[in-house]
Amino acid sequence: MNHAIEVRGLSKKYKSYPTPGHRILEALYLGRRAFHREHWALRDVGFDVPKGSALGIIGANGAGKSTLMKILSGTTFQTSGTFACHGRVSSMLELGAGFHAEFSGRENLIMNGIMMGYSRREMLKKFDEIWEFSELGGFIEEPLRTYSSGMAMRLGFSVAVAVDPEILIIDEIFAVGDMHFQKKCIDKIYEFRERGKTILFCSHSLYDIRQLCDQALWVRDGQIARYGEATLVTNEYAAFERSLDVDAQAVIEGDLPAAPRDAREQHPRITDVRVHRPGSEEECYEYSPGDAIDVAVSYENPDPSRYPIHIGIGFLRSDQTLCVANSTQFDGVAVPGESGTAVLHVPRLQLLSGTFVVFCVILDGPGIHRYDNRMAKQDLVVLSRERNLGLFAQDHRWKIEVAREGGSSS
Amino acid sequence: MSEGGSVSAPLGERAYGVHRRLPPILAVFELPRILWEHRELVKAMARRSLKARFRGSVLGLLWPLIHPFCLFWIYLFVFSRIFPGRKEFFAAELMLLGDVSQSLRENYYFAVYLFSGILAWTAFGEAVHRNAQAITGNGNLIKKMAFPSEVMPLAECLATLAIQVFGTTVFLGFMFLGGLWPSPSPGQLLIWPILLALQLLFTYGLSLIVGTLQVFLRDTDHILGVLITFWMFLTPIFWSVHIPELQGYVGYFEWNPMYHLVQAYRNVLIHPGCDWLTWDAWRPVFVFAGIGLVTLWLGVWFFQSKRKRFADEI
Repeated sequence: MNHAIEVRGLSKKYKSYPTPGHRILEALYLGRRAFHREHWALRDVGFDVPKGSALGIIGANGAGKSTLMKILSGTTFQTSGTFACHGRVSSMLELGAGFHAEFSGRENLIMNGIMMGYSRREMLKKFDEIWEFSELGGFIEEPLRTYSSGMAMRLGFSVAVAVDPEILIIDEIFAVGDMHFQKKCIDKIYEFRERGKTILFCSHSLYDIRQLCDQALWVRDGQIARYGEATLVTNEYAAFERSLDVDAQAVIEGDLPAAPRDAREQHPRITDVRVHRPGSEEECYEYSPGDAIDVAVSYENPDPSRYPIHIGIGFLRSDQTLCVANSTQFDGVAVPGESGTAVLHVPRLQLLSGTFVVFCVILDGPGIHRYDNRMAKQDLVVLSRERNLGLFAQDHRWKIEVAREGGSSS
Repeated sequence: MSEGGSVSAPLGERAYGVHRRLPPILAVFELPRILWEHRELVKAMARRSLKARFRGSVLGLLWPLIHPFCLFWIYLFVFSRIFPGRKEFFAAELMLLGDVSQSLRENYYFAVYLFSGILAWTAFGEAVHRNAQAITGNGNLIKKMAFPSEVMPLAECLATLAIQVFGTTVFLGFMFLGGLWPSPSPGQLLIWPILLALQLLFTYGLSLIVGTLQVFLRDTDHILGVLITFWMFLTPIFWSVHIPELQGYVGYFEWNPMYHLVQAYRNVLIHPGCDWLTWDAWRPVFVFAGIGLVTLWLGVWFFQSKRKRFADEI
């Protein structure tokens, strides 16, 4: 068996009643009439997690991530579908879920371990190790109600990682304690990875997902939006999240004032914008970093002598960050004639993963006013196939200098 | 791939998660196995539940002893000074204890009589009432840990049972003080643990039912508060089945499970002449055992058939 977790057609339906009374009413009707609203938290989710790999689960709030985690850990049950976990599962859905405020850290620590399936004797044996990891010192004997929330979390995490499962399900519990302790937590999870455990990890931190996981699963509205290599999926997810609030037009128009218009005259205008690969006429909007790309702007300028023009082409990320813009004016290229096509040729696209608006403007001679502007028909989608982060690729190389041992050898 | 999303590989000794095979209607048969697998948890939870009740108090675990001690003197005071009347109706009961010609002795015996009934009732009523919250009050555990939820009501039952044991110790002390001990043969006390076990079956079964109901109907807890009080007065704790006015209703008492339990406890604790070779002495025990087992079966059935919805409803 190569898969640690196999999930097939998993669906989960929640019922919500307007008031508790409606539940009684529905029971009295013996199912002949429904008084609840249905909500599908998960719909037909299926995937496999190979043994020893780490799968990151991402998605917006309410997308169904936690429901999935809960079903896999066995705290809630699916409406339909099946899953199998091959190996002992331990889940950390919430730290210190079983803590009791009146009891001391020590008592809670041992109780928590018993709740996770250890015997009291085993917990007593492991106690020192867990206590040390928690860095609680003398506080371990104090009742939990005197703890700061960070301390309680630290205790919770320390117990949680003391287990030795084959499959570890972690629901976003990393922001534990101070920076120092957070690092310890992350290191501990890495250690699990190193030891070949299968990890299911849900987080909003795309950074952590990329660092920790081989694969990522993007859940959207209870369904799998994308499942694949972690960097690719997180990049795509990030691009999608950004595109949710885009108003590129407003950005362009806000930046460049329109040229004064005279209704009697014909102004320069853009007739078409095409994005394609060099050598191909077919429009294409999906690229990878390093690809060559041509943006062709067709223009008309009925009176070039009166209206000298320049053409600008910009790449606007969907969160309205202007990533790069080129203009014929900056580059000292003339745009003559009554009509024509200006092609911006980029031999190596350096943008990294994301969704970009390609916009074109016709500017006046000094480059102050805008005659016309137009966006490419579709957004440019750049998908990085490699592990990288950020907005653009930069040329780089590494050089490591190992510091000399300080003459301690004798 | 296994059916229904159960874990296919054996969970090992550290059963984080619960392996269930039987349908809810038969689940009662695998209950012993599940509880045995989680015996550490049951023990720890019961211990914690018991400790939590007295945590933070100065006298701590002395309280389950102090409380019945004080209660006894209160009964004695109230029923000898404030409501001294109508003790003749209890004559049949009290005479079993011994000579009641002296007023002081009669009052003392009366307090003993009340106490013998109240011990079991308190444990039963408190466990059932508390267990209305067994699931809803532990939402965090149910939702966030793969937790065998049937353990929680059991832990509460065991904790209250432990308090009952404390109370009974105090009670036996008063028996001794009143010269009534060891007049019930110490041998018949061997039946006492059996009664405790049967009481546990019944209490646990009922707890599973109310705990489950509470998940879906939050009024259960409040309704229960009223019902348990009413039930207590329907059970011969503060009155005797020998009261002449009640003779027409004796047949109805039979329908009250707690009637049998209280009778059985009295036979064991304060009925020195009870002949355990007769069916009459054993009848309450067997009747209650039957009721207890049926209640447990119904409770486990109901609980298991709804268990999967707990995490979604709390």
